[in-house]
Amino acid sequence: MKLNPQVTDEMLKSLRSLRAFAVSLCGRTDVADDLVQETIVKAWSNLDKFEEGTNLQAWLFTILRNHYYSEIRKRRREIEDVEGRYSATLATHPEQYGHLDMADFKAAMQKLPDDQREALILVGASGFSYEDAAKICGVAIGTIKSRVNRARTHLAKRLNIESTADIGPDPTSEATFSALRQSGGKE
Amino acid sequence: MLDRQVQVHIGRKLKAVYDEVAAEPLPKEILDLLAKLEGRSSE
Repeated sequence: MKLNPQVTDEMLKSLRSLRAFAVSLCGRTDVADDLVQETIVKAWSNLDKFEEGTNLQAWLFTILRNHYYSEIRKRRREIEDVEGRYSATLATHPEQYGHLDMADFKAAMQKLPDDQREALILVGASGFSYEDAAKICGVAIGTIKSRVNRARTHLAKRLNIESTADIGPDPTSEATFSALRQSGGKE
Repeated sequence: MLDRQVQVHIGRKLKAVYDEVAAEPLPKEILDLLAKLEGRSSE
């Protein structure tokens, strides 16, 4: 097959983000790495179907999430998984983010319904527009918006941070909050 | 609707968790797979 070098280069750049998406979908790096490899093989054999000038990253994410829902999750449900063993694998890098609240956050993420979790990640972390996220998930833009809102509300509830007073000072967010306070907290 | 500051807080946490993985180099098996596919396609 004749490959367009620009396409393959762009694909390489997308793969790290794709892998992060896979980890947040399934909560495990070993499963995520398999998922990324299967996505690459699928994408590679369908490169001729990719329309140049459209969003390659969104295309890869679409392949990965469809594959995850049609194959992997089904397979995993059959073999998985005691809650304890599952949660134990979630905190993969304690040396970098050793804070307990990071582990809490990851655990809370994994407890979200699948549709809400993926919407929140695509928009809030992968950097897709609502429109692209809607295409990736095969639903309407309004559906994505409401899933993102519900995901945030669920997370806030689980983490007990439903109002500003619950957040408390922490070094990563303090600067933002004081900036917000100075501007009167208005949006 | 959630408090705006709570939304910002959740957004930052989410991004931190995601970027932690996105910053990692791709694992060897993925790089090997890419090399294999590229080798095959240039033949």
